[in-house]
Amino acid sequence: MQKLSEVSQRGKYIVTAVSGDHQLKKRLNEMGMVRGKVITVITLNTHDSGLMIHFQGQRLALSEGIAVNIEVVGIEELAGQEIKPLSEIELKQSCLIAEIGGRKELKRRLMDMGLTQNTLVTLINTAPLGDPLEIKVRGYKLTLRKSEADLIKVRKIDL
Amino acid sequence: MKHKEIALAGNANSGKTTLFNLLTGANQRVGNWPGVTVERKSGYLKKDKQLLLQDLPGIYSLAPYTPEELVARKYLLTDRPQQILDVVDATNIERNLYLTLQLLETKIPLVVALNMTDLLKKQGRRINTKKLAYLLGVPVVKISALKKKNIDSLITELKKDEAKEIVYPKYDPRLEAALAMITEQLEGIVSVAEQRFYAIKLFERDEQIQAELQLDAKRREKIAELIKTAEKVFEDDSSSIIINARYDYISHLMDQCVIDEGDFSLSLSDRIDLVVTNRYLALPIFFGVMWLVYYLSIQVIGGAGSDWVNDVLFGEYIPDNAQRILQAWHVAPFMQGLIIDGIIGGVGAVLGFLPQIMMLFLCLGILEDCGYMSRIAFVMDRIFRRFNLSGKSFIPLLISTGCGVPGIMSTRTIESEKDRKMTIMLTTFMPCSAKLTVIALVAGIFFKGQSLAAPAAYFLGIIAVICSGIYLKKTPLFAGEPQPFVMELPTYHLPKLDNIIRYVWNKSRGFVKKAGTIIFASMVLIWLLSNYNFKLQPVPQDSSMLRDFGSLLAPIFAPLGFGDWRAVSAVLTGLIAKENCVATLQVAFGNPSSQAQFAHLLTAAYTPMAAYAFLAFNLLCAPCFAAIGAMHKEYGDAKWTWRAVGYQTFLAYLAAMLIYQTSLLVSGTFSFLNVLLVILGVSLLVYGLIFKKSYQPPTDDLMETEGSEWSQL
Repeated sequence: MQKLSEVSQRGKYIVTAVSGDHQLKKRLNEMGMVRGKVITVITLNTHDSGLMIHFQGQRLALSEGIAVNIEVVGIEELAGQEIKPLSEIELKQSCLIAEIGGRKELKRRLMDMGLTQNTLVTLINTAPLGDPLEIKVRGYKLTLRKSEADLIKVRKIDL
Repeated sequence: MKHKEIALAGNANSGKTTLFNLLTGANQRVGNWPGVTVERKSGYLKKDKQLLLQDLPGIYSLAPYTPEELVARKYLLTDRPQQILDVVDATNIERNLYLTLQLLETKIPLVVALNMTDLLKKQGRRINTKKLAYLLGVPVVKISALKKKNIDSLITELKKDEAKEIVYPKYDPRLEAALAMITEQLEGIVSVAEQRFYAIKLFERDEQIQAELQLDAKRREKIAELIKTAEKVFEDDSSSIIINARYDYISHLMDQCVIDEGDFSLSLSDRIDLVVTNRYLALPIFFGVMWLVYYLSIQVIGGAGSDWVNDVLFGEYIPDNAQRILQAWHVAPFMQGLIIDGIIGGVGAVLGFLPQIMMLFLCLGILEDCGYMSRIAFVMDRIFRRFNLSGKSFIPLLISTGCGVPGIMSTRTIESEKDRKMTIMLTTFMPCSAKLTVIALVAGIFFKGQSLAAPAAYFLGIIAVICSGIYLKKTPLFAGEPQPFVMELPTYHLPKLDNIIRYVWNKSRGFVKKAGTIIFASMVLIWLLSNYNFKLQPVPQDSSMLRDFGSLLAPIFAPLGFGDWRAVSAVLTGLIAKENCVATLQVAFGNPSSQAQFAHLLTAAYTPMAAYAFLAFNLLCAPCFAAIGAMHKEYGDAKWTWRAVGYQTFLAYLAAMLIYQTSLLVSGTFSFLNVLLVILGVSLLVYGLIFKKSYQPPTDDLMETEGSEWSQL
């Protein structure tokens, strides 16, 4: 985990924490800069110049003062983490979707429900016999069978 | 003013049905079960009869994935309504807007109704409606359908004639470039307004759209090339590109319009779920709830009500008064017989179930409306998948214990075609309230004091469902890989009294209507058949037409222990409605004056096990005509209906025969034929359940997983 201002390589990062005073936090919040969001660093913060990021289809320039308050984890770093099926994640664990396999229609259906690459999902519950699973994704709850969760490959991330 | 057609679209559970009811005042059911709006319904606005509201099924996307999505998409593309009213659940805005973006792509003028805004405060969320309207380029009206807030301004918005031109959302420039080039290829093939939608669908490689457009080879090649290039640029496949672009766009909208105060906190609904769907508590709670439902509806309140209707209302009050009136009017004796014994007796026997049915549907209505029903699907899925059904199959099975007709109708919520067809075929095995009469009769008269006789009937139904699930999956009709299960769990809310009252009213009205029409007519017919011969002369029971029909078919039922014209006639009339079984027996045994006398006559005619075989047969065989009609409607195909009815009747025969013949073997009074029949029946069952190989589709290697499930059973 590192501060966004200290990032030394371009590429994709995940926001793990946003700190700072209330006002600033709120502003970042309004911009969509919240836990679990993926940003792409375009230019680095060299010599306190601030940095440019790509975020949800928009380019943003951030001053160093703001970037200090944003903690991130590089996707590259996570890439070292093993890819596991969502079905093998422990309860209450958050993870990022790495890829979705399976038949075309099923894959499409899962993606339509908002399960796309680099989306944050949290396993929140399982049914009595450990199947199906209940996950939280994009602010709502979704139920999946273990066999479908097997198709969703994820990387664990600690938030 | 001219007439205007408005399509009502939105996610399942977005409150669409509630809004529809509110706007049109139509008598429609509202539930919390995902996809409860399965039928296409329309109605004119209460406040403006010029506006026709067309209710579309609840969908998440315009992808051709579920039958609901197909229906909605086809309607929007071919009928092109003048306007779409998109219901967006404000508490779940991110996923709801995903559909909104797709609706915008159709270029049909759109009004967004931001529903459930009353719940936002609790969620700690604020939405800037004006900003959202500006960014989407369409009117956005904040409403609460449940609390009936702001509905008038929504209607005003719908009435506005000059709809603004739709500006569809623009995505990533690299994606837009690819879409623009695909649009060029569509020049002159689809109208300008539809180009965006088709371009995106072609980009997603939507096979249906490809087939529909029938582009020439050159264009197809060009488009395929464009998609490949884009996929290279994005390092992703084309449908992911589009989905990601849409969700990115939504995130962008959210950032500007939605303010979340405070972090995600456990809502009340989440806290309820922590208990209700808990790993250890879920099943006990579920069985507790089911026990309560049955205790309340069948035993306590419903039971007391039914006793009163049977013993007091139709036992003394109505027949006594009718008799007095008929005698005062000097009505011919045969008419008196028809009215008092045939009609009042028969219809009364049926109406006796009304209190139980009302109570049952009151309980089910509450469970459905508050959101527990979808948790049931969640909890039960694992168990039901063992028998090749989905968790959602549980609801039709449960409803069928009330009545098979709504049970069959509720199978629409099951996404997979195969699972749905199988559930329709199996759901009427559950003892419905009408079959309860037969259970009550057999258990009450032949198995007095044996408390297991009645529950055993329920187990028989459940076992029939389980075994059939295992067997049918092996046949070519149902073979194939298991279907996915993706479902949203709606937030709990307090059930709305008027929804539930409407639900109970609709169900009970349907039941009373059936009692008043089909059963009334069949009562007259049975009375006629059992009191007259073929020359239409009044005769005693044992030389009537019914007896002739029954005697003709009786030999077929001899191996089941009730090859007797009276029982066979009861089976036949049971096809009209299962309640008739009891009524027919009563008429066929010459309308015994008291229950004790009837019991005496029955026990003299049949052995207890023959009676149980009779019960088993009636429980499992082809359901009543109303249910067969519902099956036909759901299958949309006579062949499937016959298949289902044939399978059910065959299984019923097999089960009843095994029960009776085995009982003979056990009791020690058997002949060679009995042994032969038992061996035949058992070996058929063993073969079907264990030794029959699963049908292997030519190119399918997924059957192995099924084999492994087997070993766990």
